[in-house]
Amino acid sequence: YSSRTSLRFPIQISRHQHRLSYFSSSSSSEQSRPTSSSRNSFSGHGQLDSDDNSSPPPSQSSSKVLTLPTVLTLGRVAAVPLLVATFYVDSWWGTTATTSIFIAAAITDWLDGYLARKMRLGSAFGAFLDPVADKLMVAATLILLCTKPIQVAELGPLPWLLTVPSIAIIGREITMSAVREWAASQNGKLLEAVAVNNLGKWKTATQMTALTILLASRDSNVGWLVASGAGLLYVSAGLSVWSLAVYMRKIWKVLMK
Amino acid sequence: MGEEDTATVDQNSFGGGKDSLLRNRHSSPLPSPTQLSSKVITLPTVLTLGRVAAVPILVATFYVDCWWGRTATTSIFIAAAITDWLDGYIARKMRLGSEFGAFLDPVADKLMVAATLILLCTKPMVAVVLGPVPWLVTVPSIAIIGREITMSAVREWAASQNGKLSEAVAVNSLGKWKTATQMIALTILLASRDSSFERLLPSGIGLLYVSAGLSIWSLVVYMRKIWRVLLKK
Repeated sequence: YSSRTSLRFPIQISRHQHRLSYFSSSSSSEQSRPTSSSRNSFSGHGQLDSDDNSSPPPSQSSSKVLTLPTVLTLGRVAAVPLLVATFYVDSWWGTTATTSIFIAAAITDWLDGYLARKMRLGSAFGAFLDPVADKLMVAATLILLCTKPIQVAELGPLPWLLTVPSIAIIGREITMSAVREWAASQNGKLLEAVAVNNLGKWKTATQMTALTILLASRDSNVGWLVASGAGLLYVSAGLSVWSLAVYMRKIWKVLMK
Repeated sequence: MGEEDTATVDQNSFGGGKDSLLRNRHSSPLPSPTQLSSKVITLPTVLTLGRVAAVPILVATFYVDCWWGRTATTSIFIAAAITDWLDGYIARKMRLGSEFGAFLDPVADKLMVAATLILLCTKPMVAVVLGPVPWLVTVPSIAIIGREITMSAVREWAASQNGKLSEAVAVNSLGKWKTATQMIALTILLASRDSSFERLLPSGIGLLYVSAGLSIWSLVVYMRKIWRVLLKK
């Protein structure tokens, strides 16, 4: 028992220092910092969340809400209907447009986070909107790809080949959002339990790569490209469900205490 | 059933859970694990867990190409819709709500709806007049799932902000109508895969578009409220 106590002590010191460094690096209040950090890291990049405690006039508040990173994020949300429309254009430029929109959205996902950190233009609205844009683009692309079954050479059309990982990925996002919403209204231990781990970054990277390959190879006969895209999608789905299991185990432990 | 029911369940469950936690702390400082475990796994929570476990079965039976596969899928969905109302009713009536159950109940609802929408997208509808229209079910499905993703982020964000934002995302009656039309539309669309129910297909698709419209409408109402609160700061 005493050895366990001594082991716990340095861990607490590390957490304390970590929190202090976060607090000193930004002017935001401590209450909003952990949640914002957790939410931003989930998208694969950090983002400063500037928060003026004074009450600015409405015009200044409006200019504060609509910063350059937020405009880029709004552009990603507006690109989702364009992606859906171009997916159903049966010609070469439709396929190229859909793939280009997705790649541009993936690049912008990194870019607006970079701009928010570099120019210190992060806002509360931007911090909320950024993961939404990411999930909307991924969910729409997954559903679109499900509507065109993949032709595997030996087995013929397999309708469930993309549907199963798509339902797993979207189901995981729905569950994680509810977990974070619930943890935000509970005590601090649960917030620690849902802190982002490294699995999230790898999940997003494999997800974006898989979807880009599948969109690009949609009309081609290159079998190995389709196979690698589908394989990466299953890796991404596995990472999604795995990280969800890690979170749920942590939450269960906190509940049992 | 509906979001208002879910909100009521949320409020009741949180209050009940905290009361029981406080009572446990007052009577004995260290409650036994079995006592705490029995508190987390109540009858409504078991029903909700059953709905989550039914999602993989729904997916599997959807791809069984015979009459009992189609009947099983539709029956699972109808049973899940009934259980959605039933576990909320039991939680309120017997005061067995728990914090875990309050968190899990809307998740089970969204998982079932999202999985069903995606499955229906994989089999394009053949409209009599227009021929095969691949986007007919896909567009409202993306709208409905996109709305759920956005609303979840809104509620998560509001929970970490001040009280005014939490009021802005309080559930309105649009949520009830959205859920009702959603469940009915999906039931009709699942049933109409069988040839004897084929004539129901247009009404199912029409109801799906009504549900998608209600989803987007309620999202716009929420976003307008939030925007107003943000501009006051």
